Amino acid sequence: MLTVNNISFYAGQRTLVSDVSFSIRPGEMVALLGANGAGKSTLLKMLAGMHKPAKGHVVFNGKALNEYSTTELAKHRAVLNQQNNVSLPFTVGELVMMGRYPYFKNSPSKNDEDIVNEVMDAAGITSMAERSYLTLSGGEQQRVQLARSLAQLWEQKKALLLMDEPVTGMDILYQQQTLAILKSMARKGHMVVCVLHDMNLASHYADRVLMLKNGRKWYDGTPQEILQPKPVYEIFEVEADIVINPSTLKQMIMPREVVFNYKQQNLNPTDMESTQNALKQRYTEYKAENPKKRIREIATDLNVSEAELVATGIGETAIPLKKDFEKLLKRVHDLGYVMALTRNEYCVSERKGVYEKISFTPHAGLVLGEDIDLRLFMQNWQFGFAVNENDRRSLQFFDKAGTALHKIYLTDKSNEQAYQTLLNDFTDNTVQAIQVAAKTSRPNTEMPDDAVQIGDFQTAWKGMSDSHEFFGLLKKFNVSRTQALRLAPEGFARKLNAENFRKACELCSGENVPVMIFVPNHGCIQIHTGNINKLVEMGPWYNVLDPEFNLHLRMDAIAETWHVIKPSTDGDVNSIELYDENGDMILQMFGKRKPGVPELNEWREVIAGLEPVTEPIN
Amino acid sequence: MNKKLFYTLVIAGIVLAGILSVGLGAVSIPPVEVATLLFNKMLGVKDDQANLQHEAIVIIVRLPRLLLGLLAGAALGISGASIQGIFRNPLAEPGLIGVSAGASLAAVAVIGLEGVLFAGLSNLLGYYLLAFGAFAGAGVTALIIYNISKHEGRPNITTMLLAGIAINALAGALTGLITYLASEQQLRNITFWLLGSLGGATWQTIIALLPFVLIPTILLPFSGKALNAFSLGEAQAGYLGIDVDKVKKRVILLSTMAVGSAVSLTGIISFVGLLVPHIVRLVIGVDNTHVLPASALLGALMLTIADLIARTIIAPIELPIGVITALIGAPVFLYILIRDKRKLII
Repeated sequence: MLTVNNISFYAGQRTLVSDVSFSIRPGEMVALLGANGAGKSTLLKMLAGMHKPAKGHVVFNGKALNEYSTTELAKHRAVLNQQNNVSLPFTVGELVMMGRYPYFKNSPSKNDEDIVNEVMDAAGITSMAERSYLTLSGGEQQRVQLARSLAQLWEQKKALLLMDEPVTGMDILYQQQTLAILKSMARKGHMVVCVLHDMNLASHYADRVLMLKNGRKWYDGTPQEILQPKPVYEIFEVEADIVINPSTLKQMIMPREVVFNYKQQNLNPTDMESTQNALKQRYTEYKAENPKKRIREIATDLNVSEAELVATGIGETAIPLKKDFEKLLKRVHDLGYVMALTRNEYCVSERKGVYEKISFTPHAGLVLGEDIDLRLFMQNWQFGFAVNENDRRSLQFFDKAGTALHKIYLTDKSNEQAYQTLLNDFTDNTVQAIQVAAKTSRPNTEMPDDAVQIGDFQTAWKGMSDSHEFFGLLKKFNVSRTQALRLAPEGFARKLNAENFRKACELCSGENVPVMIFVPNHGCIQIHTGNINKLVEMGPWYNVLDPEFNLHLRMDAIAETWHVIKPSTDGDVNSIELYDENGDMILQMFGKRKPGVPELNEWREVIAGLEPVTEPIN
Repeated sequence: MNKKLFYTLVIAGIVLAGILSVGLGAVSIPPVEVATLLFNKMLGVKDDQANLQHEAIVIIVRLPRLLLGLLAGAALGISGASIQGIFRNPLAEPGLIGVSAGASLAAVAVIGLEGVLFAGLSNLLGYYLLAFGAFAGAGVTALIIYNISKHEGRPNITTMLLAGIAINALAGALTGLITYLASEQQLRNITFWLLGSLGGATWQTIIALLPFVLIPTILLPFSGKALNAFSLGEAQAGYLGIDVDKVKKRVILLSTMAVGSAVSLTGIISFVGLLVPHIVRLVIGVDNTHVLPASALLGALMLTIADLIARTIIAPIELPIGVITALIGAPVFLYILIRDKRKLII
């Protein structure tokens, strides 16, 4: 048994490992995962007794690690390093024999020699016994080192094997064989801790996964629990999808493509500022030439993010805000009557009103006013600015790639005093320039339809008791939204002709049917509840232009239009959903409804008048 | 090659070279007479027919010289192997820990500044002043380098290597400065010392030197296993149950002791400490438990042969032994380097 109690380790001012605790039982194989520099090797060195923890302690088989003598520890703990440079051309046999050094003084016993032969057999290196270590390939060398560490513990019980990237540099066969050997050592009753970078190997071979980030233990659990998109993103900042290997039924992690952004690579603040000044000039010139273009379009044209353009105004038109957005948002109520704006690539929703009932749960932030109705995903909020464009004042929030998530504009009726106080409290004077992350591209990683358990999925759909369960359904069956609609049970989703959204709006407007319009992005969903009256078409834009609510929608971007039915305890809930060609939702429209009250009949009539796509769909 | 065969050959070589070495010189004494003479001397047998002049030459001049060569060779060989092991670097040699540079500086200072600074001491110690000075110089430099390299109480090998280079350069500069200011006669003495010679051997010096070389030669091979583990890196050696710091301290101390005392009597003899362990490894493999004692033996043999050549090749003029070791050693080393490029690449 290995028990680790609150250990920390520092190198000068830097904290390498902070307050880590866990324990390992004999027979367990633990994979240690984390980004480069997360503290994995340092932790391993503390377990090996090489680094003494600055705080906390390690207990190994009932005895504090620092009470072991060097030789005693050498008989019960073996370490395989990340790098194994050997300075002299020892033969493979001699090198493996070094694993027996703790056991003899001057010359090895018969028993030592037997064990060396056994472990060389186990590692498949018997045929190389007489060869010089330095003539071996990297993978072969690693196997020799593995044999050496096995020799160190071969006849022991409950020993500890610490492996720092044991399979790095090996071909896939030896990677698997090495981990299989280690796993068999675990099954013999030893404890194995293995730093791995390949999460799929961890998924297949480890009994348990520990994830480190910034020197802290972030996750600890079975591979099934831990190797999920959220932990993987938190630890490695890589988006990934999880698939079940159909033949082993183990999880497989598939990282998505990352786009290289040179700007992200360690620009120092001066560089950032000079880049920003250059951008400022380009922005000013471009604006002068294209006075009608909006900032978002200019950003696209100049191939930068909107946040970077806003940041060029720092000191003049833009004030950076502290990244304490939750506290800030709670105070937006004080501003009184304002206009909330949320948009995605193809749709903008603007709603006037007062921010009320503002709260935050671990999953999402909520604004539940009569007029302003928002769901906020704060983990994606990165930059905030108070912006003043020709006396149009607003608070604007962006994700880490600099894409706008939400904006709050002051109106004539807003409380100026409260706005000033808010700025005084939340201005961040330390920010002179910003640095945005690369836009994460989202390759289409939808599972093939025949890999989805369609029968179960359809049953689950029909069994929904609340339309909010739909999101859980998507996650559970690992399907995308458009895929879900395609695989929906008979009669629960039908694809509509593109014209139907316009038609529904006209009907609702004409018949005064109150609706709910959801406009989502990955940081915010804005919901307008109420009537829509004035419908105006301008170029490719279809607009609702009411005093309290404006909607701008790019009709030409709509790739799919669906009528979707979700069962609930209050009866079926009908919606119209618009998707772009990537399968991202542009907009979702419901009839006005409240929990516990069935859907409006007028809405159902509107829905009934819609026309499905003429050709049949599967 | 079989290890036993190697040991046998080297020991036989030492005996043979020893007898030759004692026999050859300005006055040649046939090998049979040398063997008889030594045999009788050892057994305390009185031989009436012995040539007294020959006996005097053998006992008073050539035998101490042979022994000095054997001891110095053993010291250089075994220290070279140990230092290469501890530094994990096949190009390391005892000079790296400052022993040679320190000894040189001190020796040159004694010769160059004798009249100015060491007049009193010189009267007191006479000829030994040079030896004492050189030994002190070797010890002090090694100590300085060791202390610079110490981090949190343990010597850091990389720092030691770099500190060694810097201190060697500094000592070299000071040596050069004194040399520049030296008189004609001093210059000859300095040059002679810097190129090495076994000419200073007497029974007294041999007896004084004996423990300083014998103790390290006996003790260092016990660190052979530890030095093997060192080749995996200090961390891994520690994981294998080796007390890394203790081994480092012991090896550095014993090597300094052996080489410092040897060069204080012989002057600088280059290439033996570097070359001998390499030849040993090529022949019997890299296991330090064998490389260490074998290097001592081969070092002894090589220096004996080198001295024999130095004394006889243009007799009666005697060449500096350091010139011979370098003249033979450097090409051999290059030959090995070129032949085994691949094996030597670390």
